[in-house]
Amino acid sequence: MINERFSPAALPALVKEDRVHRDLFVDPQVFDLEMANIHHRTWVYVGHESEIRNSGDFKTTTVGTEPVILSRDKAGDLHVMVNACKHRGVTLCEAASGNQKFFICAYHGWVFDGAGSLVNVPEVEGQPPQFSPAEFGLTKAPKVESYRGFIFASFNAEVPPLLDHLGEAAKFIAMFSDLSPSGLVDVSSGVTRYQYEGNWKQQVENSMDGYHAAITHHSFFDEVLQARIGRSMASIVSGTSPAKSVALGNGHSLIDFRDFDRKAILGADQPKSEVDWHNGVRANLEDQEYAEEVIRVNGGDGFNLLVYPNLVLINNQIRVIQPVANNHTEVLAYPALLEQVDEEINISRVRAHEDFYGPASFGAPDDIEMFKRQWQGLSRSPSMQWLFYDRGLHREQFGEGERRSSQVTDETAHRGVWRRWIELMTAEALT
Amino acid sequence: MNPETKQQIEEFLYTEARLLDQRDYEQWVTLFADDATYWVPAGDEVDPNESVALIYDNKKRLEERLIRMGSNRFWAQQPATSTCRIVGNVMARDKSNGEVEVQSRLIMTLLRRDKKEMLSGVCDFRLRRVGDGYQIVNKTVRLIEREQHFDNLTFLI
Repeated sequence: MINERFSPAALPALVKEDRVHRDLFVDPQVFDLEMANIHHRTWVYVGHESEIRNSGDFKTTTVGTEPVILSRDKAGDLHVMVNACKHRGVTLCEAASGNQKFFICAYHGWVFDGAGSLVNVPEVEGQPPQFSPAEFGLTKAPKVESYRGFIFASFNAEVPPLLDHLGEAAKFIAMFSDLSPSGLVDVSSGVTRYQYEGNWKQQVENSMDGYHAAITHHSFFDEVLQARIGRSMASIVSGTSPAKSVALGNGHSLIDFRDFDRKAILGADQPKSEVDWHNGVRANLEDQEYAEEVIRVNGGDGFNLLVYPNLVLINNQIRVIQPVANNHTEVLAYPALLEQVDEEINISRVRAHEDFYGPASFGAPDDIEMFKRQWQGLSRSPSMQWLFYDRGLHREQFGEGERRSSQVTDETAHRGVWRRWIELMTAEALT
Repeated sequence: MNPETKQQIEEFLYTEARLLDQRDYEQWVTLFADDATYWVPAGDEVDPNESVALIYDNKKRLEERLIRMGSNRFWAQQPATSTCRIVGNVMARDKSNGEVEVQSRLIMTLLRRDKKEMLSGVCDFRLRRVGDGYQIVNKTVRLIEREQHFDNLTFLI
């Protein structure tokens, strides 16, 4: 039985404008409702086209907790198929990625093609006469669409088109990709993986949290950078920074650093490879004013973009948040390489990733430590009833549509995420 | 390679492991040559310039790790990870350029708060003869766990 407190009618009492109840993090029933109402209702990022360029290419991933195969069939079309044989539910594909025409169940040998159709059943004469292979194709996400190489899937046949869902976020996915002179990034340098004991929403909101950076990352922003470049960079996330916390609508949000002129502080010393790269960006784009805006995003004068609920783009990183259980979350972090640039540009992007985002880096491990400490505090302390998200409520600026914006140390982005959360969790049940 | 040299190399590896277990990072960094690299791959790759790594440090970045280790706000090492490592199966051969190639197996137990874990792998060293001792030119650790989801690798391997 679902706890009545989590029914669509009762849930709004647990998500107020300025605070959220602890149960939404620590109760396993809420997690199950989220997987159905968020990860199976809206669009979820499943992979990048550079991972599956050719017919027969596939990768395995998840939509919510559901294991899926993302494949490109022989016609070149993309499919997202539940990674479980329709006969008895055995995992079909153990590999993380590869290229193959068929997925063959290792238990009884049922064979599915790259579009999920059942194409062979051993000893088929034993199936009842009315057996129809067409009814035993793999369960598939009815909607798969991609934008600028970023592939999203939805298990909801009635979901609005991807571009409607992305809304304002599309512009920032485009800017992230247009930093590559081909207009597309590439994730072929691999992935670093981390996990933590805690809830997926902790990583979501941390990715959009300007307030923590100067404190959690003090040893990097103040101490390491003092030695490396002769100054602290904590001012980029201070209360006087021109950077902003932005809710874009549909839960998507932004930490927008584009008004922080980093080059004015660090100097604009450009090696030839960087000049060539930027000229490549200009040559690829018709709108030269936009091209200059994209180039300014290079390496830190940029933004953190959350594409709700599971994708984050930060500087040169593609971060994917995979919920496992209410108290267990896995995160995949891919450096985004650029096409048609000098090799040394991409090497420096990979090294920058290792610098801050990997499990042995100078950044992410301190965030993960905070997730663990937060989980210990929240999950063990029933007296800790409410989490507060009220910073900047008094100085929030309203923009077009659902857009709201405030100072970078405010919690405008967080509130946008929670507005979307309650909208999805209280929407009419899916049929 | 004569037995005395082999023994000297083994003792060098044991010292390196002991300094890490004792968290004497300042001494540990001095074992590395100025042009050294320290690589912990995240997959099966052979070229760190084409693939993201768990760790790919030069000497400067190793020294930056000391800044973090010495900070009172390095949260991921508060409390610190305790380690106990066994180095074994040491094989060494001379290279034509005067360096020595060494391969060893590493098994280490980690303890942080109440969580105990184990990491294992193959270590490849390139050592340079300096005076009576050696310096590390490259240390590569291929963990068998390298494709798993880690939560904290901020101690040094």
